[in-house]
Amino acid sequence: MIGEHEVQILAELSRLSLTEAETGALQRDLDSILNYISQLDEVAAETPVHQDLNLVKNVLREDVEPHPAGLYTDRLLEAAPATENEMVAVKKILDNPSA
Amino acid sequence: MATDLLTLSVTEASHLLTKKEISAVELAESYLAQIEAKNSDLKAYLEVFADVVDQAKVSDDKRSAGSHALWGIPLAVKDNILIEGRRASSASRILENYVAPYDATVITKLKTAGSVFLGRTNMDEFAMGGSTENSSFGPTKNPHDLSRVPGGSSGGSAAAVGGGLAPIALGSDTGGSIRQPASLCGAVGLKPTYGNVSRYGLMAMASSLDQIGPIARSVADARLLYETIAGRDPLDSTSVELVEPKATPEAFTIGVPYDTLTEGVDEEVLAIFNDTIAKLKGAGHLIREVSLPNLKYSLASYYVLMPAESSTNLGRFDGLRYGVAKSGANLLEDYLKTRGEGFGPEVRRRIILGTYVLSAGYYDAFYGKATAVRELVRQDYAQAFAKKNSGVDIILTPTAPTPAWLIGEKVNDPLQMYLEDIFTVPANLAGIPALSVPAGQTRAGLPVGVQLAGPHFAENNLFALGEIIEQL
Repeated sequence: MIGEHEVQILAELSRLSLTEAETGALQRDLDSILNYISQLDEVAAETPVHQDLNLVKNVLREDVEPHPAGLYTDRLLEAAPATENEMVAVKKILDNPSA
Repeated sequence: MATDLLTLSVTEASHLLTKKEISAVELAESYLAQIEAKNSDLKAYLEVFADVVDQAKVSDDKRSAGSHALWGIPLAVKDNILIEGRRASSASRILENYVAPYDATVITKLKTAGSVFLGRTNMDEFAMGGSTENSSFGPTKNPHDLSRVPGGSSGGSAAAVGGGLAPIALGSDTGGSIRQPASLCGAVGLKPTYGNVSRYGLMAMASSLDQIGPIARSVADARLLYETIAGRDPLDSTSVELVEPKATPEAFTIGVPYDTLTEGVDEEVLAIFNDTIAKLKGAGHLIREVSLPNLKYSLASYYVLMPAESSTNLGRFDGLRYGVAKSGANLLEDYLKTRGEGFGPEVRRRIILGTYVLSAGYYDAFYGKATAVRELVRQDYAQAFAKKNSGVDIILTPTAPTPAWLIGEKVNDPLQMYLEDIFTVPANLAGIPALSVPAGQTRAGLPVGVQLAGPHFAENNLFALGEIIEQL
């Protein structure tokens, strides 16, 4: 069982705002989904997992500039909602309430 | 003439283009006219590119003796695949005005081949859903019945192909998102072997499951598109060298996991499936029951792994580097508002579910178990296909348990919607290729597909049996 308070905490950890009404609906949805997922309990835990099937090769390149500096800067900055002096503008990370 | 052009297969159209009996401009204009007439009802396309005719003109001008079979052939592209300089939104508000800064590798390959890009197709937001109802820009309709869903998440691409608004289209498939809408719209759809097609430039949903693949009107057309986009790409480290095709048997040994068909499958779907089996038997192919005992846990495993990976992949949408930004009192509030308002309900549901299953203390119970099930499913398939166990060549099931359902019917019950993926998810977990081929219609005229799943790198055999089923 997952409670509404837990949903609120998960939402904040996920950096998502939720309205009150949404929280209740989400709590019911998650409960029914988690109930379905709980059938995984029937499976033995000690299954060895071979994730490497020897198909994927490491991709390496020389440690040099792959392209002239600044080649993509404008194009990428164009996508950013706010920029300042050829940089992505963000708010302060550390808030000091007394300052 | 215009209607004739629309019924041509890609191979036929290519042949006529080569002989200059038709032009790429005529072909493009026929599709544009069809889109003009039908897209306002179907909503298969989110955007039809303004330069389609110009692209076709260039294609006609530059045609040469050695031109690729796709030269001048129109193509629709799912809205989560990047085409440089064009919008790509994943049908999400958060990326509504995002313009792709580069080409996905599949797009680079198709540009080299000479494709004419018609437009970008509607989808469930960030490919999360099975009906295209989760698009932030309104649902796509099924071309065979406008009151019904086209399936999803590549519903726009499947509706475009099934409705005659594109001869071929690209989709992406994480748990069935190419095959299920193909089945519901009467098209052919392939999820390739994991690693056979580069995902560079595909917006990531669940990286261990995602594959780009073709949607087409025939197996031959799907094969042509697949072969054009396949191959290892240094820009996607999970892509692999193509493996020599497996030998194609004269008579296929086809496995059927009958125990998975005992409940939850629509009567008419089952009847069409059984009819296909009977006809294959009649044509000299061998049908054998196979046991895939862990298949029943696939969906539970998928609904742990997929949200876990999605919640991580979608962390990049922070309102700082791209997309829509909503401002709050501080940085944390910026994030909460941008993501809370930018993402739709299903995306938020999956991000929160993913955050939950990855929480400390729950990790082993969920992610650990789900990974173990994934391995068991992979082993089940390996066992069934193993030659030394007199294994089968291909495993046949319905693609989806039901035909297209009514718009709105399942939106308030996410679990019901998830169960539509029951036959398609296992192939993504195991990384094997799977192809959906139309097999019949319900009494109400809704298309029903069957799914062919084969061992890794056995796409050629899926196409071979797919063509046989097409002609039954």
